[in-house]
Amino acid sequence: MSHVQEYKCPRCGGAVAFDSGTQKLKCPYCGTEFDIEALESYENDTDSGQTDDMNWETSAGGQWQAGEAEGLCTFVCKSCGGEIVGDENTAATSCPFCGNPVVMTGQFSGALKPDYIIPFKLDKKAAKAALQKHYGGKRLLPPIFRDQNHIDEIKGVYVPFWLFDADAEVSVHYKATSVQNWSDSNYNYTETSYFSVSRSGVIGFEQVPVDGSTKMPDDLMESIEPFRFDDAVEFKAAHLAGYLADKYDVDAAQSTERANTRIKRSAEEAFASTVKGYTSVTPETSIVKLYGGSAKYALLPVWLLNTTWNGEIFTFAMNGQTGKLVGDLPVDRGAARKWTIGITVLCGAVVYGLAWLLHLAGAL
Amino acid sequence: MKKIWTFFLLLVFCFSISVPALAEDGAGGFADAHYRLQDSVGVLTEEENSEIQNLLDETSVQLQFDLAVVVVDTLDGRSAQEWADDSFDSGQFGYGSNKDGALLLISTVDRTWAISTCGYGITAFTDAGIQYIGEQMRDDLAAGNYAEAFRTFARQGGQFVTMAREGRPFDSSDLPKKPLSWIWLIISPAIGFVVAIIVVGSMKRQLRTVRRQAAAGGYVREGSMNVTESKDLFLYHTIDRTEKAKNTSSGSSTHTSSSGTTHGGGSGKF
Repeated sequence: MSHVQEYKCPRCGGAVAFDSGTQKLKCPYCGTEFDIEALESYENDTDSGQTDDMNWETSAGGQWQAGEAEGLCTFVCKSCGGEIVGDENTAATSCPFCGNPVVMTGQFSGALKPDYIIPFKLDKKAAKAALQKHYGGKRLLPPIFRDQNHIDEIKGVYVPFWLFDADAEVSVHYKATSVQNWSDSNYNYTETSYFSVSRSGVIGFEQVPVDGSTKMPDDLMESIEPFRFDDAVEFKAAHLAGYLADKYDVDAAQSTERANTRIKRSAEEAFASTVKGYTSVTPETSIVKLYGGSAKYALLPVWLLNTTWNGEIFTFAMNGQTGKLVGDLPVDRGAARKWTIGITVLCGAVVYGLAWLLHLAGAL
Repeated sequence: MKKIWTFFLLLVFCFSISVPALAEDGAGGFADAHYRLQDSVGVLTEEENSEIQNLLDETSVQLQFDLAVVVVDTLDGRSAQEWADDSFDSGQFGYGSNKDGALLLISTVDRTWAISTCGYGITAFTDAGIQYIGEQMRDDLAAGNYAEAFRTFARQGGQFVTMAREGRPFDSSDLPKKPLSWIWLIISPAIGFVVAIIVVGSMKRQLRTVRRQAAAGGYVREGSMNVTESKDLFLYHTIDRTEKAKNTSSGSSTHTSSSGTTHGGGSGKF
């Protein structure tokens, strides 16, 4: 039995047929005409049947040398169960995540040794100053929060991150339109041209970070990005002196999903930026394949600041390398209501006045 | 003999008062049967009739521009505009060779008014001006207060001619301003509220700084992006055509009456 090639109309999905009069393919349903070569190429491009392939080599982290972790000890939070690592001289008394007391459980053991560490570049004072700056210029921050605010505790914590490196092979198809307008004495014309656009190529990513600790909220950690890997050094236990370290509890393999999502999105955005000169561009299919994907285990510096207000804990995090501080603040509902009413009245009056002026000028 | 002379002079005087256009240039012939007020239905009292007649005559003579009123009962299925044009033509109204004048036709049965203009009347009575007069007369016509409506026509018509002679005919830009629609009392605070929501929303967003990153754009290796294949394939095109909106124009529109004379005018219901 011979195979009959059937082409579908890109406009309405109907089966197109060859029109001997125009020597073109024509859709009998919507009447659109196509060049044979264009439709053939379009079918081949959109019907490749390929899917994403995003696999990683996730054997990150190393083994501790004998005696290397001797000076480290583990603290466990009695409330949230968080396990923190510190050197034996660190007097950790409260959990950096929930503020409850912690107890020392003794010698550190288990877990992988980090490959890299970015040492703290900014100190506690800088974190306090950044918080005061964070409060500034926010009209809906309750004044009483700002005035009464005292930081319960500031802790420098090394947070475990998986850093992913990979090259991505990207193939994206878009449907694009180009609109032209013109008019004669009686009519306005709009010509819409439809294009099938495809882009293929490669793009490389390095050190895409994924939070490896469930105790650290992922959104908080992603908010203080980026970390610059230039300052990273090979991990030495001595770096932990005076600071706390969190142990990873999400392994590299589990973290790849988040890295994949972000890499795919960025790859698509980067290739979409090369599609220019159209009125609209809609992605139809995108295939991302990763090559040489590998992960590294690194500890990154974060200052954590906790404050309690009205029985609620507010956590702020500052990037210990760049000084970027984030943290949600409470909303003064009374002030928000006053601002809403005030702006409504003022703007309403201005609009009404303008409407009168336009009316008198004959425009309304 | 003296009596005859007196009668003759009186006749000349009356003639010059009632149809001065004809007396002046002699064009069109004498039309004493066609008074400037023709109330065949009898909507006016006798006093009103003579008062309006005098008013129309005086204004017409003064301005050298005929202002006439014709009242009929039914239009017999014809359009009020046609009837008004024909009344103007058959009445031989209009000053000078251009037949400068305007005629108001009222049909009491069809509850319709129409104004036919000719010559300089086309310039002086713009479409907007005609509709403005109709608007001014409507309440009086509807209430059966015809005399007042005709006074309005004579007064307003006279004013239009004066304004036109001063070089600025009454047009849409002269229409009195109506008060701003009450809908703005609702729209204005609504717009204010939307602005307030946007502004206060952005103030609230300032307080929220914790959010996930959607992409990893900051971690692209420098110079690593390389587009190896780039294809832009034209598939098909469509052309949509929409009719242009016609501009609303000012000025006067004209048409030709059954006798071939060019008239301006407009009509309405009451």
